[in-house]
Amino acid sequence: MRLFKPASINFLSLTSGLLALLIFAPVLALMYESLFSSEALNDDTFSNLAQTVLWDYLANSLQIVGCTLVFACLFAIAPAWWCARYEFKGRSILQWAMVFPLAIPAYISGYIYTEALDYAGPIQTFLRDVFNWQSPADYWFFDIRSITGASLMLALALYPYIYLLMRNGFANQSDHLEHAGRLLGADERRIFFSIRLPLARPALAIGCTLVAMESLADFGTVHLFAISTLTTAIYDSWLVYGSLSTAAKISCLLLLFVVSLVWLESRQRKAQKHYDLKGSHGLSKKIPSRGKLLLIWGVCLGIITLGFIIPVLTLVGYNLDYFTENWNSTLWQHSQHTFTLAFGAALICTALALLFNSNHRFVPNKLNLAQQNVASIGYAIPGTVLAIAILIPLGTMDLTLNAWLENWQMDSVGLIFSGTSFALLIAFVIRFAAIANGSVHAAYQQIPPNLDLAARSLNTKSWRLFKDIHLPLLTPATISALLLVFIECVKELPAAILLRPFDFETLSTYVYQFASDEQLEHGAAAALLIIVVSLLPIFVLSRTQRMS
Amino acid sequence: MTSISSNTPNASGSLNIEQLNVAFDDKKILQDFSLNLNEGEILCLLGPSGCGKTTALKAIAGLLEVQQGKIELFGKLLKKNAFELPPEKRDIGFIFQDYALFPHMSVAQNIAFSLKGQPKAAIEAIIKQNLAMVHLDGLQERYPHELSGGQQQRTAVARALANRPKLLLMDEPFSNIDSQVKQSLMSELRGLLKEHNITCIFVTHAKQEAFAFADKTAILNQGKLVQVDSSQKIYEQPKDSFVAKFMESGNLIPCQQLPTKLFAKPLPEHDESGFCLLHENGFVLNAEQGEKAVVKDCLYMGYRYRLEVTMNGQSLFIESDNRFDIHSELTLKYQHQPVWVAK
Repeated sequence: MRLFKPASINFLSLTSGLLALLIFAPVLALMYESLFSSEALNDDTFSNLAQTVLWDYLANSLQIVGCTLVFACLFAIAPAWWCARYEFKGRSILQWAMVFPLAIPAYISGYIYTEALDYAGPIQTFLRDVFNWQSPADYWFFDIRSITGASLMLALALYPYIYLLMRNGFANQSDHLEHAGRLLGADERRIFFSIRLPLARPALAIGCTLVAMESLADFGTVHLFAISTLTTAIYDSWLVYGSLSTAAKISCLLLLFVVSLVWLESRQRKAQKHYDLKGSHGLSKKIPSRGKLLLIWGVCLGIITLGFIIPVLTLVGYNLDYFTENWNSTLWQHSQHTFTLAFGAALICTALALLFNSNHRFVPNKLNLAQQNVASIGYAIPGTVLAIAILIPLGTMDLTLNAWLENWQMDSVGLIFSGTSFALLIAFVIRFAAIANGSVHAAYQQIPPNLDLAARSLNTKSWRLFKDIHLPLLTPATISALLLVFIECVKELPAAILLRPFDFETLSTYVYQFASDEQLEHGAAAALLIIVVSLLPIFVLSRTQRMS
Repeated sequence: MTSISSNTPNASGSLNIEQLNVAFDDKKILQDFSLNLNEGEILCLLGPSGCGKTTALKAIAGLLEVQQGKIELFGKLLKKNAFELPPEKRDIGFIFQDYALFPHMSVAQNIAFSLKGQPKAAIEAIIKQNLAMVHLDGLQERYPHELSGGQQQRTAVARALANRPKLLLMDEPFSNIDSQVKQSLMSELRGLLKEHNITCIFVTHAKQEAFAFADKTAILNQGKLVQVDSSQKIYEQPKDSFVAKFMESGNLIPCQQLPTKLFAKPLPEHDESGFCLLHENGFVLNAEQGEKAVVKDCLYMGYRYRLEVTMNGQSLFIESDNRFDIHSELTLKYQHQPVWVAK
């Protein structure tokens, strides 16, 4: 269905095509830098690394991914099933409270649990007092600053992805399948293991790939726990060894894993399409027995306490202790920086999403779809990798510009691209364009194409069709796109750490500085701010889901 | 294939349902539902949407809570007072409107689902046998999403019959089938059920399906059975005006407004508060004596015409072999025996 004459499309297509290419450019630069740049050919930092510790780092990264997945599944699957299957008092609150830990960055939990479980922390001190142990040699205690500990922290922050997907996966399963199974002689146990769980497998797989990507990309927790992984290796290569090409090479290695995860995920999404039954009514709820109810509340509250209540209460405690020191003008200044930057990125991402999607709507060809997909690629790129990828072209631009200026005997302007918050803005836009795009794309698909035809038959011009028909119908999606990108930008840590200009902090980097200096008490106000902002979409989501 | 049919002690009275009552939150969905079915009989449960048809099927299958009533299948008690046999022990096959095929299992795995615990060779034999029975040979490795609507339905039939159920229940089984293939699929499935002597209840809201598929039809209205009879009897002699209107049996004229000139013989005793049913094909159009009528509309129906006429201030539909112009005058005579229908 072509709604526009080819001549009128070209400008729109060209613009969005160019922008999509710009978004993709850093990845190309990354590959070029790691393979062909003069530094890549001459510098032997990477080969030294590869001959010594790089493979240990890789092993650590993979171990963390594996352990995080195991823990996250343990936290997520049973509560997801219970919340989808059973109806009980307080379920609607409990099922959303299970998502709250998503708002706590893993490095904050990591810091808080390190303090709590340390040799000098309250728990070990208490145990020593009770059992009269004198030294660490007298007993064994779990060392949280380990791969298992880091994975546990990551799993506590990331399990809600699996939980949400599985809960929806279970809840959307047709009652008919269960009825059919029972009439064919299967008892409840067999129905769960041979029908329910296999049918939720795509949801589980999608959730697991998301958790795997996030844990692979984690920088804050592993750096805090001094565990060397691929992300910390990229960080060190650039900031300690000053070798951009080495950072680029490790980034490419990391990207290889990410790309395979993305591929896995898209395969599972396709499989899920076949599992969605047309005209199914979803799972009907059952009343749990008393024992079951106790188990449900016990397990869910336990997880929420570990993942949310303890970190938040600790931060609130820090805030009460250091109230005047924490709520100062520096915090105000960093908040202002962060929110302005995040809002700017959110505006750009949403505008891009509207551009790409309306372009594809008006001219639905493969090229325009490809633009959308290319523009969405950033979300899969770990922040550390993206930062390196952006530094390459922006650094070159700075060098070139300054060389020109020198040529024309003008004053150098310094690093106006790579050394200012411009780089950070670009990073946020590339990384989170996919979120805005997803939101707008989903809403656009809800608008029936016949609406466009009806408007066209009433002599509506293209711009008016967009402005008066599409845009009003897209308003909720546009707002949620703005909000989601904004929040992600506030939370983003690894890219911000590498790209922030001198003397410039976002709330995340501000908190992280305190955490790595073992003084989170002083960053507690900012940490709470981040958590409050991160809770917003959970409330919005729960409201919209309850209304529908 | 005699293996499918169940060996039963008594040939008649395979299913006995007495006084079934189902309510959701004080709303009565099914009231005093009683039914008897003989072995090998196919019953159509017919009624408008929301009348409780599907609820009745689910109640028989044990898929929902039944407050009251008794169900017996070939002498086995399924439900009486507080006793409820769980659905997996009832020996009932069910074909859902959406077929409810397990999407993560192949056709063969779907068919084999109820055969767990049997020797592998026996399972393979039944899969092969049932695939042949529904003409799906060679498709056992396919997945449900790789099948057409008709093939999905055949798979559902093969799956439901795999463990030789004593009763087959079907919920709107033909509603998702294209009208071109519906007729052939219906006669094929009917042949299959008859061949294996399978007792069956199926639910629909389309009377054509009752005509084409059922031995007996039961009309359900607002949770109550109104009439249980052969489809022909229900169509030609509906018990009340609801059945007559639902079956579109013909013209319903209030008895008090019946013009006597329309009939050749004097009318017998009848209840003046009810209706008289005049079938559309029972009229002579150009009688020497009769009731005058004017043609309002004339529609071609394939070899025949359907006239809408005004007679005595009332609108009637009449079947005719010939075309008539609009506004032309007719002299009508009703040559069949009129049927008296309660209000």
